[in-house]
Amino acid sequence: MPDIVLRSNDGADHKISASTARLSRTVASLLQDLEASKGEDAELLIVPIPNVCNCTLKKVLDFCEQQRAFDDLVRASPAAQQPEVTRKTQAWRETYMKVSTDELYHLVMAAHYLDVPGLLGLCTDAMADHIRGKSPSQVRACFGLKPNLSPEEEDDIRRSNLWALS
Amino acid sequence: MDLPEGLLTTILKQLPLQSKIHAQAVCRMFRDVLCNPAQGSSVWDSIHLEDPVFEAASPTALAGWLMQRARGIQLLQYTPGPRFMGRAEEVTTPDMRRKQDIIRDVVLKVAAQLSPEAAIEMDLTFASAETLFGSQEPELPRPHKDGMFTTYWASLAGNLTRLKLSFGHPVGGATISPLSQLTRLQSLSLQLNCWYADVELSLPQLKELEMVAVQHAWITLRSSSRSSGKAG
Repeated sequence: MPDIVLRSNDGADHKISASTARLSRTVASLLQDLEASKGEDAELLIVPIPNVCNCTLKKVLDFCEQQRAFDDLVRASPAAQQPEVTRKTQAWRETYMKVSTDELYHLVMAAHYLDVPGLLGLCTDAMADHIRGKSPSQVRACFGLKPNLSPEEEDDIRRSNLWALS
Repeated sequence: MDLPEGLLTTILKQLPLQSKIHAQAVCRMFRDVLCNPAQGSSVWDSIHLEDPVFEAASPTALAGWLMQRARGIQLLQYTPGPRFMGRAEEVTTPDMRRKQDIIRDVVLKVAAQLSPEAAIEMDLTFASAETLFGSQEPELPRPHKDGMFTTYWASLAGNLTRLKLSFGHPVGGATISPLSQLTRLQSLSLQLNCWYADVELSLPQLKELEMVAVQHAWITLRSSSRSSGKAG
């Protein structure tokens, strides 16, 4: 299948290979439908991604392309080199995930919508890291959340978990 | 920030126990997922008991809370602190020892109430292999002679799926053959920090691992005395 174009919700086009695009299960499903209706020899396909802006889509596609490159490397590398490939993958992912909380939020929503399992796992891990070990007020400050529980609801939580909150 | 419930469940599920408890008070979106999980939601099915929980909790209150939830727990991870359950006279004050005993009992009681399908993962550090498996030395009083495994953990044999054991030193009189009772074990890690033990003495014990039905086993020998024999 030829390359395809993913179009962000603000109109930016990103040309990628179909095999890379298929790392998104949502896109893979769309491509399957398009292939069924147009045949594999169809001209360049343009797939609109209505829930994702250009900046976030570019970041998602960076992940997909790198993931494919690592997958290819793993297949091509002898067993003795696998630990090194794994180390490189982890190092790249650590750098990739150095994003602001706001960017992380958009990225996790895009990974969820596009259904990219590897990226979704990275993002949910990072979100959990932002919550782990923090007090409720610290979590609210981190994610820009407003306290909206009633005093009765807060009392109820406190009473049910006295052993942990005291 | 507004997250779909399924996504928020995935995120909150990864948190250790105390962070989950705190997260309930963040806002209504978090509370709804944690306090009123949707039918089939798995946010509380994995509970990780680790040091901060034991520091914060009264063991009795923690036990009561856990017992209420025991039926829904599918994965209980238990990671006590360094040298936990070591020999009292070697590593802990009487008060620490008392608290550790209570917490151990809490874990064992909760584990006994889990459904047969639930998995238990344990990461434990001991002063010596004797503490866990007992000793063949006739002069030792019980429970040191029997070992904790024989006394308590055999009842968890069908639930333990991952076991990581670190020992301050392996003891010649101890045997690891009780591990062969762990019928669901998928991952076993043994770490022997042999500061003065003769590594050659412990190798026959490690060979008994062949009796254990494990899919993966990592054995790490970290010894400063491999070449010099007994250095103590």
